[in-house]
Amino acid sequence: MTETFAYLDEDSKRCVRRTILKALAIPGYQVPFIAPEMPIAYGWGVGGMVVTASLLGRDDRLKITDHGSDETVNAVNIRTFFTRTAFVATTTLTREATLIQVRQRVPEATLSEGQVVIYQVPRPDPLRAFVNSAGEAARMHAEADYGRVYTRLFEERTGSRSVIQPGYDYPVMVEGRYLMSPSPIPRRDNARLDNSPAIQIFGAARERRLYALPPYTRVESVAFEDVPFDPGLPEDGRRCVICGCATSHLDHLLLSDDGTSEWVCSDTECCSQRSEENAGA
Amino acid sequence: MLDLPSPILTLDRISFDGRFVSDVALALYPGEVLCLVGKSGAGKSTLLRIAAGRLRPTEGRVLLAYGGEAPTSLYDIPEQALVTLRRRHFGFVAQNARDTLDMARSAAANIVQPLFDNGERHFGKALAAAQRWFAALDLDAARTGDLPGTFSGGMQQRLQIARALVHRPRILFLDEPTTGLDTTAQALLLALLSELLRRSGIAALLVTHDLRIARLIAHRVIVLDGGRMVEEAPPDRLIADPRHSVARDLVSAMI
Repeated sequence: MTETFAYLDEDSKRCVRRTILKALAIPGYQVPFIAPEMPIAYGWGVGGMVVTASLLGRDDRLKITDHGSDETVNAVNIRTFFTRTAFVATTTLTREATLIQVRQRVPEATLSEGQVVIYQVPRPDPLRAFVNSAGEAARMHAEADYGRVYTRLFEERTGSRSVIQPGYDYPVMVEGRYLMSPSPIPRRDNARLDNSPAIQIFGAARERRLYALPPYTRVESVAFEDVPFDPGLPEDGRRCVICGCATSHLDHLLLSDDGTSEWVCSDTECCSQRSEENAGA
Repeated sequence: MLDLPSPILTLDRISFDGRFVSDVALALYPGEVLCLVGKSGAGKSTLLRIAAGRLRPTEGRVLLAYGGEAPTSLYDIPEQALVTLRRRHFGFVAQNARDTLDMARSAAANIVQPLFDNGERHFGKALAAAQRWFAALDLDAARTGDLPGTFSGGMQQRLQIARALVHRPRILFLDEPTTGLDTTAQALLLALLSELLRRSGIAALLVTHDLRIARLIAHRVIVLDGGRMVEEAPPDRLIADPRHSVARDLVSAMI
């Protein structure tokens, strides 16, 4: 008996690939998908893993990151899983990867044509923050009825006490048509979704939804005509304690048992590269 | 004498379930305030909801004339087209503010929501509109960020009116807007409403059971009984010389 390549059976993978094609044909539109079971619980990255398993071929080179890091438990476990079930080569270098599965960050390294970035998505529909009914949300998407999103933005700008500005998962408009969740990436990463040469696929297994951005798709953060989108860049001079970078996205981490915390780059690949460059200089 | 051009809204032999509203025909003219009066259960609110595109009648048509085009029959167009048409051309003030206001959104956000629903994407214009309506309706400008639930009943009704008029609709529908308010708040609300309608030229269809309100604000009054129109007259004539028994009862109730 032959083991199934990349865990999923071929029928399921074919079904998911059909969904991906439909999602690519209608950028930003949420397509229902089967989200077959994987050996982790729904809500822990099944959507991303299903898409990865459906697209993975024997010649692919896979990169997995979690919060920008190649070294977290989630990233290491998913990488190990696909190494054992598909025997594919893996890498921590974005330029070498053909498939990149990410969670909560867009790779800071430059992406190129032919690459596929796969996002794990917990809440695919930004309208569900405004309406309880999935049917009503679908109607609103169909009619591009997005007035409530701007009402919420209005509240944020007028300082209502009932609203907190989202620092991540900040909604975007795709080709001026569909409102889309960029997944829980920091809102400064939204700009990386725009006009990307790579294919970007978003899988939400728990919610059974999948959506995608073909290469060079126009993606704009939701904003008023007269108030530009604020990407929320830090302004307090913080630097990465490892590479000294002040412009990358930083995480605040406990680095020792005595409770000392430091800021370090979220994207470990770029941080390592900068550290090597600093050492060589 | 009010100059009456062609009607902006026509109810053509409207019936609903044969009992609640039966064979009602009426016309609303641009700039006119038309009052529907009657006792409880007379069919006033049902007729108002039908006229406002919120309840499909079992018989008859509701025709809206706008933009110089042929009148649109509200219930003969697709559901979403009706929603869009309602949002663009109608404002609705309910008896209970909770029926139209979003109690989880700030007062200012509630007021400007119809602007965003109709495609406004300019923050400065929306903010100016909210501030303008707060001033026009004598609301405290420092409370734009407060939730509607923290306002008094009269203030909530004023928020509703601002929300209903902010996008400059063609017709305002009001369903007993002063119910539950004390007499002072009623008088203030009606004075504000009357002035706003006079200045804007927006037509209004108002439901009430109180002829005093009709006398203050309406150009014309229609008396309903058992779902049927039983009398139609200017408010002063109706109060001075009520002909139908229901109209006489309503006049008696004014004293």
